[in-house]
Amino acid sequence: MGRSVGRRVVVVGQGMAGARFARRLAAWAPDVRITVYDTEARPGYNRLLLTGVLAGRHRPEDISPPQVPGIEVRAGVHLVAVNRNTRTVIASDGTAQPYDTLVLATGSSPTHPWRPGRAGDGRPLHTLTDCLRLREDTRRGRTSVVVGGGLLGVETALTLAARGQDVTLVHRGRHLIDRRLDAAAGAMLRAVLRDCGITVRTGASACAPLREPGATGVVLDDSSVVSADTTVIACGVTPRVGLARAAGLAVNKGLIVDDALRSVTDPSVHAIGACAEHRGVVHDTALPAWEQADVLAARLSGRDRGATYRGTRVLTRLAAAPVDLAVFGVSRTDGPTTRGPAAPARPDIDVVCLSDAVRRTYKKVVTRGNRVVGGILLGDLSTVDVVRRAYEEAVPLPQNRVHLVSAAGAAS
Amino acid sequence: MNERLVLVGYGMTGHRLLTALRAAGAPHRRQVTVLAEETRPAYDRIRLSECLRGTRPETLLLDDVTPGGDGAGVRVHLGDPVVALDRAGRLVTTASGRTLGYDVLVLATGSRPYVPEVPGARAEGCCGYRTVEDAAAIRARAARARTAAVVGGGLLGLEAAGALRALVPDTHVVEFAPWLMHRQLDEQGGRTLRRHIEDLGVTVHTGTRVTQITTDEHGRASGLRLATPDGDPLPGVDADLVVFAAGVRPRDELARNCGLVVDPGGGIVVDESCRTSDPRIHAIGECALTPDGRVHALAAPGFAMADVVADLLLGTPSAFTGADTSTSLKLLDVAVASFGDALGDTPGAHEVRYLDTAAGVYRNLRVGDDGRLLGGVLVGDSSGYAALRSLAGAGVPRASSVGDLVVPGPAGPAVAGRIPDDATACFCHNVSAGTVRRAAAADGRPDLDEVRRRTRAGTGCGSCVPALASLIDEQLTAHDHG
Repeated sequence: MGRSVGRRVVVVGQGMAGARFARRLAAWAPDVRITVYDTEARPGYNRLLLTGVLAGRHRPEDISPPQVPGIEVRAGVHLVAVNRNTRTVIASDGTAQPYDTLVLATGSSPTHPWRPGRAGDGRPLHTLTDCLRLREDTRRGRTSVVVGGGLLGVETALTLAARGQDVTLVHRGRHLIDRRLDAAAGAMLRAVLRDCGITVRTGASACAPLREPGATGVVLDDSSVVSADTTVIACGVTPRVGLARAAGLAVNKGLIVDDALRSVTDPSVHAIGACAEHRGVVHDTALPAWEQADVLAARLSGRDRGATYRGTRVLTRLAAAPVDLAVFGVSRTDGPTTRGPAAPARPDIDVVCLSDAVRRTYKKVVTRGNRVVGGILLGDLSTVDVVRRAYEEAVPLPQNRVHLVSAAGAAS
Repeated sequence: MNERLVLVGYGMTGHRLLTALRAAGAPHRRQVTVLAEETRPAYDRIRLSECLRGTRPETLLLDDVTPGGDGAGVRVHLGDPVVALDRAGRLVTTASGRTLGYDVLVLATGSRPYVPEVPGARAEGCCGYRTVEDAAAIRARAARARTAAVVGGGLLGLEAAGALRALVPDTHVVEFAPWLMHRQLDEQGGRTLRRHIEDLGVTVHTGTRVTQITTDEHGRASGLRLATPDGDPLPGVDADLVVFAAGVRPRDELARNCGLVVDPGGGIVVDESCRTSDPRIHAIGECALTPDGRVHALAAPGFAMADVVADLLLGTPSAFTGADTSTSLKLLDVAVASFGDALGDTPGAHEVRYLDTAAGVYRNLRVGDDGRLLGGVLVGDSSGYAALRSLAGAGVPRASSVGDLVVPGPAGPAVAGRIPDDATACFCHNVSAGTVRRAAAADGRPDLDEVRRRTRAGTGCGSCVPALASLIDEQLTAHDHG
């Protein structure tokens, strides 16, 4: 095998990144002994499909890939410490596992706006367990409140509404998905949700669970109350970096890694997925997790020792009927500016934008020079292939950019 | 009985009235006298910027409609303005002392440039921008000027700035409203236009008003003091040529002085027949205030009013019901167009928008709740304007969205096919799309020129010609497919 991959690789976490990494490494370097730890006492599964389980499109057992022989999985085991001097990980049951290479793929934990105390205080939709409990709750109850109107919150609200729930979506920001969408696109999205029967409250922060006899739901910062049988928390995620921090590894938002996905503190420790911070960015979606997993496995297996990760340019997709949304890169560009209310504030950035309030479509592609650096496609994804190619492959754009936002424009 | 018609003012609107009467063969049944203040006959004021570019004024003259077929005709007295009006005696008196009796009087006295009431506004080097004389004065001054400042960032001011840019090293535009052409364009449109203009080297100041014209030791204009609309001072601008193009004020002095009802804010009050408070006196064009409470500072409404008076005189009365205020032109080489309810004032109007900041193109179509096109703003690319304007006037609910019409590029037959027969194709001559289609489908496969000749469509301002071409193409294709 040559290089110092060593014979023992310990992977902490079998989520999107960890499971993929372990599978790849096992396939490319069969001699390596791989041990995977995970706190969830169940086989790994594809987190992307959780809303599909909630919607009833998938059965829980269908979203787990088949187990790969040759990987020792210790599910349901909590790791409490990493001793980098002795190169061992310590589990809660006291056992110590030595490693030559450690890969942290601990993912993220859902952000909770209050400390959950009792049943009814609200549940995130992060794990399969969450998902199954939510399915049960919504069989019993008729009304739901979703706290958090980002991508996950919007998708959850739509999924629950499709299940016949009477849904209220509460979002702190001024418009839905305000970190990625312009106000105009956010307003259109709101209108679509409203037509699905979802009540949308923006500029409203849920600050506490409603704890009254016989009533559940949330209390908002204006003291008003949204009562609901079921409360779902979708307030974003935070990288899980407790183990890394305690072990003295450099942590910012996430565990800081270089282009080889090595911790900048210790070359025998790596991090991938939603717990890792690469070039200042924490990627918390599936495709970057898989890409990082593949790069690291290629390096460590010897299959491609020079493989590096340079960041992922990928479109994030929200497809929950009737919403179809793709958003990527630098997408939010509105704000008061001398170039006009719809033009970007930064002078080096340009936009091509076609918005139709009648059809409720909003298509915007953001460019810097002659490259695509971001965009929003809402309600009409007819140009998504052209846009994706231009973005992912950093293709230089021609002078005429109509084809990016209009399929009809492409013909002329 | 030879009815005596006296027309006060011989600008574009007065000329239109005479044209309409002549087309009906009417003048020789009347004794028509025209009393004009300017020393030239009616000329095309819309093309005034050509004079700034050195074109001789004679080329702007409109057709001479004064000669009559049988020797009787229209008598025109140039350079002899009416100074008094005696309604009881039905007499007008001119500057030279001439007096004329009238049976019907039409006031077409137009307007004057608005000059802000600030110190220095009448200094040497400050000019209005309305007449051929104004254009000559500006041009003469521009030959020696370093910096020109145009006060007014509307249509007129930007046209002046466009011409001055070629004459003077430095040109500024000062506009009171937050963005340029605020009457015709929405904010994004105004700002997109601004960027184009600034790219051409013109300095633009919006949200700015002039508080003083400073002068040098010889009393000549040397600069502008500027402030925000609230009065907070802004950095000033040196300028040795100041052009006022900040709007117009109706020339209603005659009416005021003889007791006709005049709006306190300016403008001779008229009803939908363009009649003043005196049944024998009409007012048309920029001196009049129509029932919709507006003074229309564009040519098309003036023409419409002239047509109303002509119809009345010819015994086929019609009413002024508001006029098309659409515009489409190139300002400093930037295509700018505005039509219908361009700013979305109709309640419940939706926006269908296209913006390309790199190319400087902004197109915004306003659509009603029922899907029909209400109006729009086009900056940087006005393709499809003629067809869009016709559609906006049609008021027909549309099954499909206007989304594909907002994207720039040759729209052509796809759009023409949607224009209903009863939509107006040519606004200057009020010719419907159906009329154009029928003319195009006539025997002999008439081409564009022939259709124009037969229907008069496209022989006014010419902005509808692209739509006419599409309508004709459509008929040819239909013909080919049998």
